[in-house]
Amino acid sequence: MTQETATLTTDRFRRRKGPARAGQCLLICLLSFGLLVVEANIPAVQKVRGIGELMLVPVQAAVRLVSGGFRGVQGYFRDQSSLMSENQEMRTQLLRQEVDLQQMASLKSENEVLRSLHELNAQLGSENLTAETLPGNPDPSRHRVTLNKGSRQGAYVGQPVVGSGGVVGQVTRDYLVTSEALLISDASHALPVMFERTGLQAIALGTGRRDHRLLLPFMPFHADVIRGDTVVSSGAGGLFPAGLRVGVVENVRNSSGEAFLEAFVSPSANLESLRQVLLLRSQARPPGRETAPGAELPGAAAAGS
Amino acid sequence: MTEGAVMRNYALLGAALLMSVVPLPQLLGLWQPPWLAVALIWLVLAAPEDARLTVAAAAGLLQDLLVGSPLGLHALTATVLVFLAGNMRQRIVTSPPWLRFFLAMLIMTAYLGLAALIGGWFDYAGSWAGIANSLMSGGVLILIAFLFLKV
Repeated sequence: MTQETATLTTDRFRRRKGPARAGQCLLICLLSFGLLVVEANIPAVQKVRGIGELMLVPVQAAVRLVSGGFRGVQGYFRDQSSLMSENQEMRTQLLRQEVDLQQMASLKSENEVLRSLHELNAQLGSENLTAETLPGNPDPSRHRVTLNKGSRQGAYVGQPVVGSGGVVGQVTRDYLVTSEALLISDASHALPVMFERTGLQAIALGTGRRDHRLLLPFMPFHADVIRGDTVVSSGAGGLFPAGLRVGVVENVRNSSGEAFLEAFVSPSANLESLRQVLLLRSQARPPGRETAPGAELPGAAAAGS
Repeated sequence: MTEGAVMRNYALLGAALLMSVVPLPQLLGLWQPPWLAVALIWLVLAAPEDARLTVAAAAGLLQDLLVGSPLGLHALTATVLVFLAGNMRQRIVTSPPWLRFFLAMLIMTAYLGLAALIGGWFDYAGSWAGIANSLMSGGVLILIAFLFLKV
């Protein structure tokens, strides 16, 4: 670009500057802010958003293609020996779990917690929805996943999401063919839980940290909580069924001078790399409300316990 | 400004939007730069004719749809970004490279800070560490842009 054309460009640019430009900026800002307020207060706008989301399906497909390439490259570099050792590990784990399962059957009649798990099993067998995660959480500071099932397949806002290890999160947006789930580790998520060993109730708050740990704050100072305790959902909020495995206590913090005990829990579901999840049909959900929004928000779940 | 250059500039914006939803590998994911902000700053400096406020608002709105943030959040912040960058353009292009870089970082800080603030009001806030990370990686991109593609 020569000197002359450069000055020309800037001159033309400067002519449009000034109060008109500031006014335009203000107008757009006000409009955007209005849109934000409207979307936050009128749930129907979510449906409009769903239409926009539908138009972006081809874009998402393209992104999936690219990220599939990423995954392929990652998988290529993972060498075979590590895969084999992983396989071996899984075999021994399976064996151990089979033994555990047999013990469970014999203790079923006496053990309260095992019974609730058994009830859960029966419940899980009925009419739940399997979904797969779609790649592309663009904001790593928020813990969310996009699922490939939407309101057409029966997903609804507030639906509990469970993975193979335990509780994963809940559906926060149901579009037509996809939905968005908030993970329990997100900083805005709260989940009523219970200690399997002692029955102590607590709230598991997401921390938003990269290691997906949960925080159990404000427990009585002398509560019997030790490292390795299993934490299950208590069902107190009415959203998640009771007895779903949530995680294992990783460390307990009771510094003297503090009034309460805190515990960090590492989730037992593999939130790092989710693939297949189960969308539960919650018992508490009133029938005939197929897509009604605002079934129960995380905050409401916390308040209910 | 030729027709081809205009197309190229808008394609750049589109690419930035796409890049913001491509999931990066685990370690890089935390350092995902604010692609749209970088592209818009670049556009204001390299082709101010195409960096209209309406274009920024439209790109921001698309970003909101793609990313899943509250509608209007990025439209607002992108507009403010282009407005600020446009007003400071003369100062930026006549500054030495290091000052240029700091001015660009200043604008990007305003963009991310505003997004965090307003996002917080509407129940959509990232962690401060995440914002700092994306600011730093965005700074690296801006630095590369200034070093290799002289404005």
